[in-house]
Amino acid sequence: MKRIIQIVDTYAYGDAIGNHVTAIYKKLKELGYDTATYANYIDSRLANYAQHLNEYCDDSDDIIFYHLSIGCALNRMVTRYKGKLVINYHNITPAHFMAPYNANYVKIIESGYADTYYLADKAAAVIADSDYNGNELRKMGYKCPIFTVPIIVKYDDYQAEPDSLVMNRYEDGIKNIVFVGRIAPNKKQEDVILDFYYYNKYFNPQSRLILVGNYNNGIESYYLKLKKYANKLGIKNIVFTGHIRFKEILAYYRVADLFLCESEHEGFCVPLVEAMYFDVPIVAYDSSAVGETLGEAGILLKEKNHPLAAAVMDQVIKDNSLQEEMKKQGKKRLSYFQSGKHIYRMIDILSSI
Amino acid sequence: MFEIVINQAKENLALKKIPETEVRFSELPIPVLYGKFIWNASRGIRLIKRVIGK
Repeated sequence: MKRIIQIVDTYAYGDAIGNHVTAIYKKLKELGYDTATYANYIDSRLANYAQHLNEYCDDSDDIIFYHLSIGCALNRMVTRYKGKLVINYHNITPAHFMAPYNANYVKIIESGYADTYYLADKAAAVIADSDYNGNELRKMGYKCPIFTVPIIVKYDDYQAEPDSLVMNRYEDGIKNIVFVGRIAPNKKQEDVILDFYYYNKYFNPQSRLILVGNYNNGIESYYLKLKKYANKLGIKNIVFTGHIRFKEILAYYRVADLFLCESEHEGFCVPLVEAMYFDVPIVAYDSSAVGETLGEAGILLKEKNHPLAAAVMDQVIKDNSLQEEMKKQGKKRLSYFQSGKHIYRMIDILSSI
Repeated sequence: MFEIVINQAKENLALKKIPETEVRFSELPIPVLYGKFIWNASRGIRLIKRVIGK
């Protein structure tokens, strides 16, 4: 039997790609596959699931399942191994979003795109998280088979107990508008803030905006600018959580009355699926893979019209029957991602290469 | 399938006549940060010794 070797540059705990890698590893093991995961950087909490890349002894029969999402030396080095290369493309945030805030990030992103072009004729196949990601590679000249298989989300984890302090603090009758995602210019938190400004001022002053996400990430100047912006707009009810524990994230989903997404670049957008899981009605701007992931499970805004977004938020929050319908659609969409068939399809693709 | 909600929202908005804010995110200066960037395996690039410019 061929070995299936997962390789990722940074194997991080709790992020979407790290969870995805772990889920695939566990399923491969459960099914009796010969498998291993190698990485340059391994979070100590994942030490049981991966080894350092230096320990990898390659074999021409290996299937190398390489997770590509950022610029790094490994993107080119991975072609030197003897096995067949299958890329799992998670997308790379376009550099122009970061350009005003961090020149180092821009360099990393640009090298990531250059590497992705370089790999175009070296991969035996690609598994993309979304059609959006797959189409991006087709435009970059990839001729190998490209399959769309959604990122694997660990739903069992969401059943954990949410943080009681967060629950107690924010379950106070004030409507909580929530967005979850690292504080980053492509996520357009400034547009979420502006939507909220109109909603809070002209529709419902008994409301609060909670931006859940890490801001200590090399683009702190963007975070500081967001704070200044909220201040200039006179918004008082805004919370930046920063990097928080998983059970706190669960609590913010549980207290959320509406999930608002204005992101302009997502390769998949796991928080949309999480919001569906927690029955939170979703209003989102239609960009990149957002519409594809959302499907019929939320309200998709086709334009950046902030007063209109606020009016839509008001419609949703005031109308219980609309919320129920949105939750129903959310559950239907969730069952598509949740079904478990995707991980088997991924493994079928890998074992057939 | 929720187009009707957007249409209703448009009608409500037309009645409200909301003035547009003059505060523009794009017109605000980007705070200047001085410091040293390091690579952190679990959290990506991080800034240490941060100083915020005026």
